[in-house]
Amino acid sequence: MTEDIRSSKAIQVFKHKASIDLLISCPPTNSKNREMEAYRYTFDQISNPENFKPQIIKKPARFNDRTDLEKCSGFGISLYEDEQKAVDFYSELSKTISNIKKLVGSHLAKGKLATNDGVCTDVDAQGHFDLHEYENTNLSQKFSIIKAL
Amino acid sequence: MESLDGFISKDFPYKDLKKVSDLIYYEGPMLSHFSNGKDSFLYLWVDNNDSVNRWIVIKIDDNILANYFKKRISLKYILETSNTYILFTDINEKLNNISNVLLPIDKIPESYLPSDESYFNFPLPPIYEHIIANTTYVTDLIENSIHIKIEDKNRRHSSAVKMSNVMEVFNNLKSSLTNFYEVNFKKDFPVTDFDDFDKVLNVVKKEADLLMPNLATGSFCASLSIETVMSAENSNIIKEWRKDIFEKYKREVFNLDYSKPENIVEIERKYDVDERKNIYAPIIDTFKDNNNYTISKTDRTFSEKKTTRIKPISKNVKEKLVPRKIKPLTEQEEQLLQMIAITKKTGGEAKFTKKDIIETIQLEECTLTRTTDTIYFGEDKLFLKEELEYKVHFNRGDYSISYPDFQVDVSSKSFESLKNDFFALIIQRYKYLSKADDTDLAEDEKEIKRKMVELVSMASI
Repeated sequence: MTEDIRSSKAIQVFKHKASIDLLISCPPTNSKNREMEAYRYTFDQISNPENFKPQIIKKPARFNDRTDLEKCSGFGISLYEDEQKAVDFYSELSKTISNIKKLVGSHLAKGKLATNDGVCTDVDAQGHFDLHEYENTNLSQKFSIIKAL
Repeated sequence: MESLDGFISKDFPYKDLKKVSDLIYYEGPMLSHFSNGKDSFLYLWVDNNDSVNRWIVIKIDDNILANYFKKRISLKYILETSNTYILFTDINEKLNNISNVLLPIDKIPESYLPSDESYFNFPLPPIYEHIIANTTYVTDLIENSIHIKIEDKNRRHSSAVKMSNVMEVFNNLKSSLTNFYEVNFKKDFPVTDFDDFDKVLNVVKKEADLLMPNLATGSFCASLSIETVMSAENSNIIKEWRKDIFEKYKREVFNLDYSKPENIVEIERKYDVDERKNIYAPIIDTFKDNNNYTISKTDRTFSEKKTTRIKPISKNVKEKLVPRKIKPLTEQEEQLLQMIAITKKTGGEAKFTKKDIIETIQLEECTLTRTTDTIYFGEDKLFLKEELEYKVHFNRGDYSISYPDFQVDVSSKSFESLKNDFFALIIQRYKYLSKADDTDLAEDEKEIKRKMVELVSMASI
């Protein structure tokens, strides 16, 4: 079930509203509320506070240029719509980023998104999309680890 | 975070770098491309702690980037071939380069190194499509090349190489390649396929000319390839054929493992002696040990690590690939060979080459000793109590035997006839003498009879 983003905005406030309001079209206007299963890379404990932090609030944020601060995706949570696509992308990342486990975790978690969790960007060819959470969303309670990567 | 024991630089050494694009992105950059308009760099994320993210900074160019995007080279390869020292920079949240360390390449922590399979399997940002288009032709040539290094054995002038040595290698390779083209073209296309077969073949052979898309002087290194852009005159069939022929040449000639017997058997099966001579003789020459130069295989960056000396092709393999031509023997030489082979008691009519008796063949006159324990002619046979030893004389094309004990003198232009005549005469003499009464014989005839009787154990006449 999807809802119009404007009507949902009237009810819900984004988690990092103050920052994303400074950006142009963040979240993207074609983002939608979705009810769907999703997958995320996590550390080995689902309770690890680093699991569901957007990049912008991580210490230190992984940016190497000022233009990174202007990217809306820095405020979103990366998710995958398909388990295999998530596994495949992690596999490719790990060939290049040797320390990937330290960076994004070593496990795959699965959860079910509700329309009141936030808005989802369009899914790309790799099965990836961003969730821009609403302020009361707690994803750690919706996800559980399904496998080691 | 790993500690880096290298050379510390207070300031980040590169100025005015601007990000061109992120190449790998997941909740932030993981691999990014930076440029200051003149030089380009990759930033690879490798580590972090509570206050900084650590990046490896790798200098690159458009060719490297194009090859990386086309999955021809891995990121690990780019890192290992970029420089002897690698720059690490730690960047904090305020995007300041807090620490800059130069580390020898062999000291990079294992946990920082991309894997051997670190190819670019990610979405290509659209801004790079022009790089791929512009660099494709030369990059393709380099990528498909044979990469060689030539060094003089007598290095009087540091690492400079004599032009004559370079030209010799190039001429040999060109000759081998052109012949390979011709031989394979004739095998793959019947004459009836073209209105003017020879004209088409000549065009194909011209296009087999070697190109040199990459070169490094000092120690002479070159990448050698062939034209990939095909003449409009070529039909589609030939274009298809040409796509693979240089790869086939590399497989069957330049990169062939000559130490594997099965590879040589396959080459012998595919190509006849003349074809092999045309293709492989120049290669054998190039690789041989007593050249004034050494030749090595290397990679597209002429990396020392990837340079290996090409071993000479062994004598046995050389003989199989390009057997020496032996001048046919004359009939007399054949007969003399056979005679000497039997004299050497090698167990029969073994075939010998000219080499075996080269001194003898060059003699105008020689004498050889032969033995026999049976004298036979037609159905007549004399079995002897002991071996009869007789001498065969060869003098300027004439064979002769003289056996005074039996008063037998025979001569012939043919050795085989000579032997037959000799035996025939002995048997004839034996037949007459053994039946004759001694009173009817002259003294010398009696003597011959006595010796024959002494010698013959049994007669089947």
